[in-house]
Amino acid sequence: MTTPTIEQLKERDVPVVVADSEGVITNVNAQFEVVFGWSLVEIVGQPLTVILPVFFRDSHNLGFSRFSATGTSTILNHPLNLKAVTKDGREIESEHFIVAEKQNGSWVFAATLRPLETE
Amino acid sequence: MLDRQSQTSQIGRLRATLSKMEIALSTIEECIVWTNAVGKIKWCNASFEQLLGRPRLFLLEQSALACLPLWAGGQPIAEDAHPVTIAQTTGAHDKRDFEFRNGDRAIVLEIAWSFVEIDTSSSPQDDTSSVVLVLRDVTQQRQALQRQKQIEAFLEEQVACRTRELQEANEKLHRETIQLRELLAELKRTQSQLFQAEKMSSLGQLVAGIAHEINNPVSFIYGNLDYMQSHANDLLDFVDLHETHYPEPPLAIVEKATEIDLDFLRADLPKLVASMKVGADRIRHIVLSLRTFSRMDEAVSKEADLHAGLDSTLLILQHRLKAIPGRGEIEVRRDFGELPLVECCPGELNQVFMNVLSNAIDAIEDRIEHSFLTESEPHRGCITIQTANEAGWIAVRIADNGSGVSDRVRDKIFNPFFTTKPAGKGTGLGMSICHQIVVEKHAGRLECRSQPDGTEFAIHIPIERQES
Repeated sequence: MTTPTIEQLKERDVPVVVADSEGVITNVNAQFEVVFGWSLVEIVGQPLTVILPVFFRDSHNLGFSRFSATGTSTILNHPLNLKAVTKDGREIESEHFIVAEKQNGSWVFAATLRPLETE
Repeated sequence: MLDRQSQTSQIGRLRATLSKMEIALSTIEECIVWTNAVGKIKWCNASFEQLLGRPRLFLLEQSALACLPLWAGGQPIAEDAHPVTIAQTTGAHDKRDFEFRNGDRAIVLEIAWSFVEIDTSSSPQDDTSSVVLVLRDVTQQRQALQRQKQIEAFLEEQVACRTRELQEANEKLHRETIQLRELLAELKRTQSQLFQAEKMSSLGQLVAGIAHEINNPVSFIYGNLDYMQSHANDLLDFVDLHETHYPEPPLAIVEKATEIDLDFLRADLPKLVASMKVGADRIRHIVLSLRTFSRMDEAVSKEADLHAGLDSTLLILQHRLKAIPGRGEIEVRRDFGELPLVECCPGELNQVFMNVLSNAIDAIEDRIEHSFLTESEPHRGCITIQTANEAGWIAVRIADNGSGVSDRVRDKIFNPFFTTKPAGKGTGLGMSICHQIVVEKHAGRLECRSQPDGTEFAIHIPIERQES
């Protein structure tokens, strides 16, 4: 099974979030806006940790930093049942599928956040 | 406010620092777990992920107590004994061993816990207090330690066992050494006594032999003396008769009578014969005493007259009792009672009398020798021999007025090889053998009482011997 590209992820009918090599959100799709309550304008420029539960933030920062330094990760390219946080602070059980791509020498990350409770 | 580029640069530097920490923490063997104030896992390193076999993402926000069930002594521990709870309730740090069951495998974890308080003013969503656990797999070390303890205990037991065995062997050896020493002393004593007994036996045989050889010629002399006296008297009667009938004898007879001093011869011949009779009688008496003393023909027990034994012993010692230059005669007082015949080995008892009497003479001579220095006139030696029949026992008490013996000497006087005499003069066996003859062979008693002015030996012999 080949890894989908970020552009392919964006086309999916699930919430998608895109971030740059610094972990700053650069784009979200319409489903994301619907499910998580953030508008594109509001969320672009925010760190990824705003959509992560408090518990995951330290771990995310450390893991993200490690990936930046080593380029290796255990969480990429396979579905993970985790949690995400909406703008109003609700935690949503969701299946995360995270990919990373090098674009112009810098890492770009994208993730689908498919809510499990809606299925 | 920092511009976007500066923020990006600052974040990059922070990320670089965090990445180094993350990498460093993932390389160490010890597991590290960080929980919040209520014990939920906030972070852990790669070693902890490997220990539980679950990625960190799925451990976050889980209860550390649930993720890390611990055991102690084969039993699951209570929540309040879990290191997370201990750290939360005590606020202290410590470490302890716990068991952890990883599938079928039980391992020993050394868990160090710390209670951490941090200032969260810059991140209000963080907990101010948290708990950090550091887990180290010490199974091999503890097993090695356990094995070492078992080996040490085994070795200690072995050493203790060997020590006990050595002590027992040593004690046994010590006992055997004492027994051997006693046996050796006994052997030496017996050997010496045998030697002395053999010597005395040889001496007795010699004395008996000489007495026997002398006895025969003395018997000839003694037996013929009466005839000789009779013949001499007949001859003298004949001469008297001849003179009566021939008052004027021929000249040759007168000359011969003058030559032989006939008158003196007639007066002296009876005296001479009587004197020879006295001498022969004395020889016969001495020979009889020698035979009585040696009693070689009486080695076995028989009824004997102890007075005869004492008399014969005194006769043999006569040469030591009579006066010599430097001292007068030693007086012997016989205070003999009425004694029945006694069942005994007379030769051996005579040996006892000889020893005791010889010692008495030695003690008297010793005192006389010293009396020149301490007394105004020479000491007069005296030995008193008293015998009595005392309710089934014959008592023979031989007392002297010699130099006496001290208590110390008296206590050892019957020990083999003990002597107060100069080297070469005494063997130290005399009294030991006396003791053996009286006590062991005759079931009697031999006691020594001593005062500064003399010593008394009391010999008690049962009149009827009891067969042992």
